[in-house]
Order: sequence, then structure tokens, then C-alpha cells
Amino acid sequence: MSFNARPLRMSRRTRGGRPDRWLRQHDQKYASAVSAGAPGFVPAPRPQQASGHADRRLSLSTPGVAHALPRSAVPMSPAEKLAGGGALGQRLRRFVDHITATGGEEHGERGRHWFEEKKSGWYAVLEDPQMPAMSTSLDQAHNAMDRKVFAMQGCHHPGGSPAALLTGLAHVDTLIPSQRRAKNAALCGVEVEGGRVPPSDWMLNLQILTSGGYRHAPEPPHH
Amino acid sequence: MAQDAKPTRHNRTITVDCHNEATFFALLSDGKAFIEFVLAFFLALGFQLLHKPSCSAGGSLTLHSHYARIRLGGLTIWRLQCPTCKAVFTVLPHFVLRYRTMRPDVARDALLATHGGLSLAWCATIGHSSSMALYRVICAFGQHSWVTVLTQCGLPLPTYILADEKHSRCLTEKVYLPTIVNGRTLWHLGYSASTSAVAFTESYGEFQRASLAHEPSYQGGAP
Repeated sequence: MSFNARPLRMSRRTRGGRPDRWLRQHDQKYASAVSAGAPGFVPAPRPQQASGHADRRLSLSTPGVAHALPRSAVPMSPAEKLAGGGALGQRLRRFVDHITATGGEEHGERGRHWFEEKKSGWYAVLEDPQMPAMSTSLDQAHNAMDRKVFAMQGCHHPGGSPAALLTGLAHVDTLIPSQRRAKNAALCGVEVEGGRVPPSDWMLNLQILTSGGYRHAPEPPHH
Repeated sequence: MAQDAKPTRHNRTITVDCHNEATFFALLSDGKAFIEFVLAFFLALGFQLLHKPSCSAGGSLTLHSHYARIRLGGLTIWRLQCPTCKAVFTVLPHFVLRYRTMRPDVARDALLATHGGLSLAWCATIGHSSSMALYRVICAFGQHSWVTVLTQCGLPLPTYILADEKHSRCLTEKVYLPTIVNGRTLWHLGYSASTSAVAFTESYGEFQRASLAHEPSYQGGAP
């Protein structure tokens, strides 16, 4: 298993039958249809689109407007920021993709090297069919840890173990049924990913799973 | 005088859901029924007990010893032993937390409030406890690695992962949280005061080591 930084490739994953709006599609010659003479210039939105998501709607629906606008050209709405759309890793990756599409493979490779040095610990193991389109869950986990641990009082014990505290909080976060979307309502993170928690009570699950004396019994193969 | 280092004892505590305290106290008076109850409980969960590696049987248990926990009002804690490998399992009822006097229902409310964003100090206040007690409970849960906990839920080791470091602050110090996620589940959350690639690699290596210990043929992260 390799944990070294690896060249990151472009993902053309579609969501809900719609291509990822920020990436160059296979049938497009260029990532951005915005003219080179006016970098970052986006046509003004129509009046009914002038509120929150105007720029995003425009870039999606208007023919000739880029599917892969650089993020700097399109201000992010608060909702988009909340959704994790502004993840630095993803933005850097898209930036490299943009360079590859516009400047050629050689420049893209240089950009990739710069990216790896810039953020050496950012790894994304990529295979198009399974790679998450965005690092939303990663951002959510990070933000949750940031809110719950480092922004609150009374947890900075001089002789304590921040790593153990973080791990314990993350176990709670994973096992509490906190999913709010209809598809996964009232499910915990483990259940969302296809796992099975022993009883329905999350606290009891936490006690059982962190007991130490149990181990999972693999199901016998079906013939 | 040099002392021989004692081998670390494996945590073989098992938490058993007795539905209510009366059931547990009734079972204490009948050793055979107690063992059958414990066996039925973990078999219903689809779990096995963590016997010693040399144990091939792992089917039967015998009463080994018992002791009274004074801090819990003299509660009797039974210990069961595998006659083959001599591994001893401490059976804790669901209304007891290991090494803690805090009751699980109190911890449950406090953890839920913590998950909701309330500070440890406030969570302890509403639970009529101390923030240090809550801190220690969370740290106790955090002693168990994600790989152990999540694989007990039947989740396979992730084939594709996203890894990133969260820059955060602990009081006045800048710290980094190397994180590995797969979908909604966290697989690793480290804590590092250093931003070097060596520190991050070491942190991510914990996940790698835990994964390889669980499944030696694990090739996660590589396409």
C-alpha cells in the first residue's frame, strides 16, 4: 500500500446524470469557453438569477459559458462553501486540470509536481468510477473536529492526549445517527457506508464496539 | 535492580446488554445461565470473542472469578475463561463503563450534547459531572482504533481513501490533523504539532499498520 503522493488525475465523474460542472468534458476542446482576453470575466446574470446562486446557474445552463470556470472567477455562495465545494485539495486539482487542458500535458505535469510539493500530505487515490467527486465528507469531518474540539473550552488538559480525545469524539460522530438527508435519515455513518451496528442504541454500540474483547466473525461463504 | 518488563495485557472486556439491571442481578445467582446468556448475546451480534491466537476451539467458556467493584456500590463483575487458551474475559453489564463511575446514560446525554456543539464544560454541567470526567470517558473510547471498530461493524477496509490535513489550533499552538476518510466514515484522525511530511507520513502509517494487522493482504490506496 503506497501512501506517497501520487499524480492526481482528472475525474469526469457525473452526478445525477449531469457532468461535473467544473471540469472539462471529454467532448470539449477547452476547459473554459471564456475568452483568453477576458480572464475571469463572466457575463452578467439575468435579473431573476441575480441572487445567491446566480453565477453557478449561469455557468451551467447558458450555452457557450464555461463548465470549468476557475473558482476564482466565480464567487462561492455560502451554501456552496458549506457543502465543501471550496476544498483546497479539490481546487488545486482542478487548477492542475485546467492547466493541462489549456497549456498542454507538459505544463500540466509541472503544475502537478508543484501541487504535490505545495500540499505533500494530500492524497487522493483516484479511479474514475469510485472516486468521490468532492471531498465533502472530509471537509465535514474536519470542520466538525474543529468546532467540537478546538473551539470549545475545557478540553485542553496539559497532561491529556489530544489524539485519544479526537479519536473518541470521532467514534461518537461516526456512531451517532445524525444523517439528515432523506435517503439516509436516522442512520449513522457506519450504516450509510453499508456497515451493520449491533443494536439500535448508539451508546450501547459505542460501548460494545470499544469493549476490546469482541472481534467480527466473518460470514461463512454461501454455496 | 532491573525489573522484567511485564507483557501488556490485552483488553478482553466484553459489554453485554442485559436490558435492565434486574436481569443482570438475577443472572449473577446462576452461573450456568450467566454463561449461556453471554454466549447467546455475542452470537446474536455476529461477534466472536478475542481469544489468544493459538486458540482453535473458542467455543466454550467457564466461570473464572469474580470481584466486587466498590465504587459502583459493590457491583459484582464476573470473569469468564476459555478452557483452551486460558484467555480471561471480563463481563461488564451495559449500565457500567469500564474503569468509570459515570453511568452510561449520563455519558450518553453528555456525548450527545458534545456532538451537538456544546462545550465539554457545559456538557458536564448538564450531566451533573465534571468536564475532566467527561474528557476521560471520551479518551477511553478513543483508545480503540478505527480499523478495529469499523471492521467489527462489517465494513471492509477502504479501497479508495481521501486523506488531508486539517490546520487548526490548540490554544495558541498551530496543530495539524491528518485525516483519512472513505465516504461518511473516518478511518484515521491523527494529531501532529509538526507540518513536516515525515510527521504526516508517520500519522498515516498508523492506519496502514492497523489495516495490515487486520488484513495482511490489504492493498488499499493502490488502484
